[in-house]
Amino acid sequence: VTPANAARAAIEAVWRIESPRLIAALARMVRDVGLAEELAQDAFVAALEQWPADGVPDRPGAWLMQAAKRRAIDQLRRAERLRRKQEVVGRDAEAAEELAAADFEAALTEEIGDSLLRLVFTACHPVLAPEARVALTLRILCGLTTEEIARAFLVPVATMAQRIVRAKRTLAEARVAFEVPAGPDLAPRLGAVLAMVYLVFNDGGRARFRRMQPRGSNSVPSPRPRASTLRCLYISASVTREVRAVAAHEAPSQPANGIRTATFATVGDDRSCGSGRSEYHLSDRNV
Amino acid sequence: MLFIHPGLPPSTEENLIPSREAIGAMSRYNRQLHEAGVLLDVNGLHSPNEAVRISFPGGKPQVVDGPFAETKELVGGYWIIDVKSKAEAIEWAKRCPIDAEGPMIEVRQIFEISDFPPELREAVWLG
Repeated sequence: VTPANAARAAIEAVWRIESPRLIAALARMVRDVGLAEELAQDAFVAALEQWPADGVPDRPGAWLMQAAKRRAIDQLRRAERLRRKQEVVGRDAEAAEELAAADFEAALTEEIGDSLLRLVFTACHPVLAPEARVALTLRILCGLTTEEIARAFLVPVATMAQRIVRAKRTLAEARVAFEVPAGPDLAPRLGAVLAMVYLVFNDGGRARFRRMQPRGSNSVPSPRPRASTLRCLYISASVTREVRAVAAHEAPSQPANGIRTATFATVGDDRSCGSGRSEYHLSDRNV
Repeated sequence: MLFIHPGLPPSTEENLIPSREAIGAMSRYNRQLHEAGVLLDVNGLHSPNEAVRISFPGGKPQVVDGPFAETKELVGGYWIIDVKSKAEAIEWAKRCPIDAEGPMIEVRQIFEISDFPPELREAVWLG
């Protein structure tokens, strides 16, 4: 392993750990999930340029957040100049205000909950087709690469890349608010989130099952296919718990159907993923 | 799998229950691991003074009670995490809230079915 490769591996590891919180915090500030992801990606690219030479910083998450913040401010200033020229509505000005006041440290250390939950509800917005919701969630919330998602859906990478780009554009064009819905909006939106959890659970399991299939006696399963899927399941389960808490609080009369789905995913999480042998339980479930 | 070696001298009886702050910091760390979707299991272990070792001289089990002289390699606890790469395991280990000289974390990969040669997998499955 060359030092450059080692640095790259370390940076990718930091990305996997930090990106969902980074994107969630940025999305809250710029009110645009697609833009938030681009800003986070730009910060990641800056890290790829800088860290191999300077070393990985002590607090890599804070470093990425600072880099992304600088880009966000540049972006908002450009948008502001454009707005003055074009007299477009003041969504970005409001965002710029919030950005100036935002406590980035707090945003970064924030536990799963508010920002991530907003991110889930946004990625699962009904303006998107169900498979686009799953793809976007896997991409933004679970940190899977487009290649990994394409493999799980059995579609070409270019198709999946297009689907994700379109989904982000649709969200931006529909000006979907970055928030957890309340009141009468909650029930249908909650249904969409729970459906996504269910699909991630099943697609993840099925994709894994496919990889487990022997393709002749000499075939070796691809190394360590589990981490991504397990990660999705756990995040889904964490999110499900949050969603259920919101549901119990906001809509106590919520039909039990959605909650049963959530329980299924959570139970699956506890039972199937609690041991190192989880893949076989999951596979059985999907035979 | 992450092992934590506390690096304490063998006779240390006091301070085995950490401070409230240390427990809080460790719980926050564990919650971070859980919420990132990587934590499979985590446990702290009782004092090595209470450990018992079973060796098999001549194929026969022989039980020896602790405490034992050498402590450098003793395990104080472990995390089982499921991550994509060694680098990611290292990155998580670096975030462990330890601010003392002695303790050390060791990263080890768990052996899986796919790590066995194909001809041995049946034996793993069926015994």
